[in-house]
Amino acid sequence: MRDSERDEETKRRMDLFICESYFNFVKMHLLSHFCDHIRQFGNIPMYSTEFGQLAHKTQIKAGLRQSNKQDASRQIVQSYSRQHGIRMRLLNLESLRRCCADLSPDVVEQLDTTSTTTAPGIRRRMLKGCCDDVSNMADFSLVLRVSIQIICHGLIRYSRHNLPPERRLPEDPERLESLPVELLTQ
Amino acid sequence: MEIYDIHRARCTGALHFRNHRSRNDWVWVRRGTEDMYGALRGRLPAKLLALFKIRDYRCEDRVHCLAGVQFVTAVNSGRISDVHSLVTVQMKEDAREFAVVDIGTIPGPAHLIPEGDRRWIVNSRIDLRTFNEVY
Repeated sequence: MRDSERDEETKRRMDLFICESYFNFVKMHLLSHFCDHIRQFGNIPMYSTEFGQLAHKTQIKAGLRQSNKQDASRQIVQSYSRQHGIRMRLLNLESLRRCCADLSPDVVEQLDTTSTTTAPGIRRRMLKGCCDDVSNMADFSLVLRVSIQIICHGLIRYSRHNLPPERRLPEDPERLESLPVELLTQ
Repeated sequence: MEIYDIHRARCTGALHFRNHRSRNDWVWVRRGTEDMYGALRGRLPAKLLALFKIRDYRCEDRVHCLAGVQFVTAVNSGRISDVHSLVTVQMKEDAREFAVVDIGTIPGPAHLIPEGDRRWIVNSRIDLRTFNEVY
């Protein structure tokens, strides 16, 4: 296809796209109501459906497992109410402790062992897919297509700048090249 | 309850990925303090070249989990562009071919949009975490 034909085709498609496109659909229209809704009902995350899904898992499924499966709904509600009540009480006690209230030593000890706050998100790094062809620096260099000198230089540089003296990698290239290497191609 | 996101950063080195060309994803690497690299706040995108472990048998058989990366440099000291309000990065001709970092300094994958020859736009709108952390 020539350039002029291609330009014409592009122009024709753009014209079609412009005349056919519009933003008059529900999703876009709802955006215009957000401001009023927040003022009227509160913040949007309160109405998130994800909480419902989470509740199904933590309240209903866990509650059913704990029940004896006879008249389970009542036991689920009771179990959840009990857990909720204990959690509220623990939160109150922690709040009192922060205000330096006079709490008995066994309560303080119990509060230390029971955490009511959730731990911060943990970032896990999992390395997968060990490459069997690589066992030393020479194989590693061959697979990566990077010269062994460049790799050793990078390792020495990393070791000098990031590791404490007692944990540093050997700076002698021969000894460094003799270290076992495992390549992960995940 | 523990909630976490799974972000897969794939790296096949020079090997083929599913019978296609090799795959070397872009990742964020923490380098230096928050005031470095302008809007990138101490992070730099880098191309993941290799993920590897090296065992130092001289030192209590310690295993170092490392990554071989190739860094890009932030254009205009990491200031956001007036046109698209995103940061542009480039790979210089004389960029170091292979730098080694600890995998602990990789917070997650980065999304870069090719802009031209060895230039990319850093997409900070890819997810909420990136949006909050970067700029």
